[in-house]
Amino acid sequence: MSTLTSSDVHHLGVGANFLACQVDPTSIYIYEDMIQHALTTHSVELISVEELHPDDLVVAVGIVSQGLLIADMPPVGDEFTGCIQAIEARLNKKVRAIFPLAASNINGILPLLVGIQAGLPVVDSDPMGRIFPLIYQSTLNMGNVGIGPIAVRGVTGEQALVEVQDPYRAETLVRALVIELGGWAATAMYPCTARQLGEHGVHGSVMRMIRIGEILEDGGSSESRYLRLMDLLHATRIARARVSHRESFSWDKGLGLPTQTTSLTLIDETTDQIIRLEIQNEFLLVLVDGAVAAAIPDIITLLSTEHGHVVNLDDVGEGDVLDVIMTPAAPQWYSEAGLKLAGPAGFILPVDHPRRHA
Amino acid sequence: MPKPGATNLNMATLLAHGSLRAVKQLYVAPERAPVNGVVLVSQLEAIRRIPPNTVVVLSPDIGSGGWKVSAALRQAWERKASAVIVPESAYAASAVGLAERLGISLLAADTDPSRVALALAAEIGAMESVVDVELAGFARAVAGESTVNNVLKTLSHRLGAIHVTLEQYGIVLASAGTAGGDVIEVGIGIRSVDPSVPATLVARVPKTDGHDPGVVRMFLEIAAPSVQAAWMASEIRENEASTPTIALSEMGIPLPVSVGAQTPDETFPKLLAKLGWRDDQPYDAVWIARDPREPHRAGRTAVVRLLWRKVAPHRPLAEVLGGWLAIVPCPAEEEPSRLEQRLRAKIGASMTELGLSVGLSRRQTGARPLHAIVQEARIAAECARRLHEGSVASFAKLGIGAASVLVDDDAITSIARLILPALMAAPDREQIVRDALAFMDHQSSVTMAANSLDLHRNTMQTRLNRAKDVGITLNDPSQRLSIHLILCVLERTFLNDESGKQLPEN
Repeated sequence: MSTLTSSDVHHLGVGANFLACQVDPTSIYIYEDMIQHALTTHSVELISVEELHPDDLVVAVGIVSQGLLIADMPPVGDEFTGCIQAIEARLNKKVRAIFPLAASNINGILPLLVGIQAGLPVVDSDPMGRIFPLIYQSTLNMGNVGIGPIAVRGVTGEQALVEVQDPYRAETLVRALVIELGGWAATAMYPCTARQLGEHGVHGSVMRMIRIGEILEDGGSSESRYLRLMDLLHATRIARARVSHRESFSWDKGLGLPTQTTSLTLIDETTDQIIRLEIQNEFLLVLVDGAVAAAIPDIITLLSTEHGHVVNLDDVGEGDVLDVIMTPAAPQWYSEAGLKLAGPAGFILPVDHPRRHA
Repeated sequence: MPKPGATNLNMATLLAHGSLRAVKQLYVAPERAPVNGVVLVSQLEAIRRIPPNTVVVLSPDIGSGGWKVSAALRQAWERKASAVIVPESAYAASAVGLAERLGISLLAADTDPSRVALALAAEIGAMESVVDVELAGFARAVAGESTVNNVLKTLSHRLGAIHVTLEQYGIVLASAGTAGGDVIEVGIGIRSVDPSVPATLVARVPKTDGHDPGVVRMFLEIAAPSVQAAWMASEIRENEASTPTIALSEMGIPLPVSVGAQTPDETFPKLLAKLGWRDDQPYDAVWIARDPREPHRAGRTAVVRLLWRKVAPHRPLAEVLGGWLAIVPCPAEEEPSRLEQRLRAKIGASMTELGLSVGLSRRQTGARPLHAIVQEARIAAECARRLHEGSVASFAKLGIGAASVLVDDDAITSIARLILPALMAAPDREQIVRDALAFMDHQSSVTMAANSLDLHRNTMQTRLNRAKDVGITLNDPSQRLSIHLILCVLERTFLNDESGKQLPEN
């Protein structure tokens, strides 16, 4: 068990952004700001799953969004505590700890605030090891841990408890509720025992975000930060290339995914290779001269070659020179079941994962 | 004559005049990629199974994302596809850049791509029918040829005059067409007259001419049975045609050495004329000798005969004891040296590789001297073998010198070791032999010998004194013939032995 400091929270926010590479990190900043304020009077504990009793009830907390940013409709404050109470009431059992629904982006950081509000420790585990856009894309689902019941609560105080066990059906129902609740909603799902989370979760993912933040915020040279990151994450650089142009018409909307899509084309000026990144909520594909070099569930991040910090999609401009970094996802995702759920096939992409035999 | 190709279609033709003339050219590769097929794909993975030289037409489904066009281009490039055709609205600027980088044509169809695919398929189908007809015509053409050279000429002509050869032991037995520079070799094995040593039919395809090696191989395979048949048939014809020459051998040629023995024309006064030998015709005899230490190899005759065709295609080559014999009737006005030049130019190198030697007689007119010219050719061939294996020797040039060539070198060298030990032990023995020979060859004139070696007379005299010191007697008429013979053999032995120091032991 460790009590997180203000510095840890800041680094966690940076790390959550690194692994998310989202369009706009404002939501992370908003939650980081709220947590920093709360820490002046409260504390939040980060525990490992082994520190819990195996039968203790734990639940994942996270925002499910349908394209709306937190900044556009700020939370009232009781959304997540309401969800946890609903789960406790339904299962007639106290929740002993919470864990992040995803280990990056806003869902990587907000459990700290929920932990402060609910007086619960945050488990250093999650069911994705990164972020995926669909709630059934989790290692708990792969481990046949039930996704429901799911508590969903919006900023208006409206709340629903979805009694569902089929995770694919749960995705449809929750997504529909989110639209009705205004564009985003707080959720508590995957209520399970600490034993189940220990067996099927991805562990150490919160601390990893903090470590990433520590390296990125270190005052050393960008090259030394880059090398330490590669070492920590076992990551590789696919290319150092200049942005050639952006497109945003590539995808059909077969999965009904929430946000608009885009493609980036970069030219590696050393090799003349053409690098193409396909994005839909996440980076899905990296093609080098048309050949797939990386594909989801690989974690793709764009780094500034000049400053070594994360470059978010909104800040990418033609002419920028970027490092395209590939970080391997949790090993579970490279199994046959993992790739089926969250690999190219999970996004209806007609390509094989380049490391499908890994 | 059209270039070979399964369809003879290429991208340039299709874009200029064919079914692709209406498509938008986003990027056209500079190379005239051949087109053998077309495939309409709705799944990216289908591209992995296409054969080379295929036009890939992407359905509107697959063309919905720009990245799919990029991936399709990459996979098409890996499969050596001729081009990728996308729906008009599907391509992206980066895909055009990628096509240019990969060097594969990218086209956009403003109508339903399946219509383009169908039109192209129809054009290819029509062309394939033409190709089938062409192949059948080629098969008929080569089947009608009766000589290997004519089969090869037909084959070369059909393939755009490329160089085609029939080879065995790495030796070109017959060829047609023009040898090019940067080529791809396409070869197939064929059964030769000697089944234990297969021959090879080879086409050398210029890399720049856009020939499809697979198609060239197909033409070779069609021509192969005709090559084999023509080769076998020529052997049969050659055996029949060489009967009169063989008869010379059967009638006692080579002649016995004894003086006074009857010549064949004396023994069989009318038979030679009945065999076709004419009294008013000048003849040359050519003897190809094999090394008597080498075992006779079945099928070697067929190879030698194919080579012989390069020299005298219409004169039979008879297999006789110790080698092969041809009697070549020559036009009276032809220079006697022409045949020797042809022998050297056409088969000299091949004879060397095969370990054979060629002897050429002096030209004689009529049937009566036939026995003599055969003897001359045989002796010249033996001299050629002794002088330098694989060389061509002319009896006219050898003249009486043939006698010294044919002496037993080992015996003479042994005598030299016994009689002239100081010479044989001398470190400058090669120079001594050369100097003494020059003296004897120039009528014992020191001045002329010095001139022939480009030396001063006094130097020559000093060297002759050196020869005397090592035991060479140059002024005793009774020893002159023997000394000259020993010197000739030693010089030849030194020449044949590169080191000049490894003389044969007793």
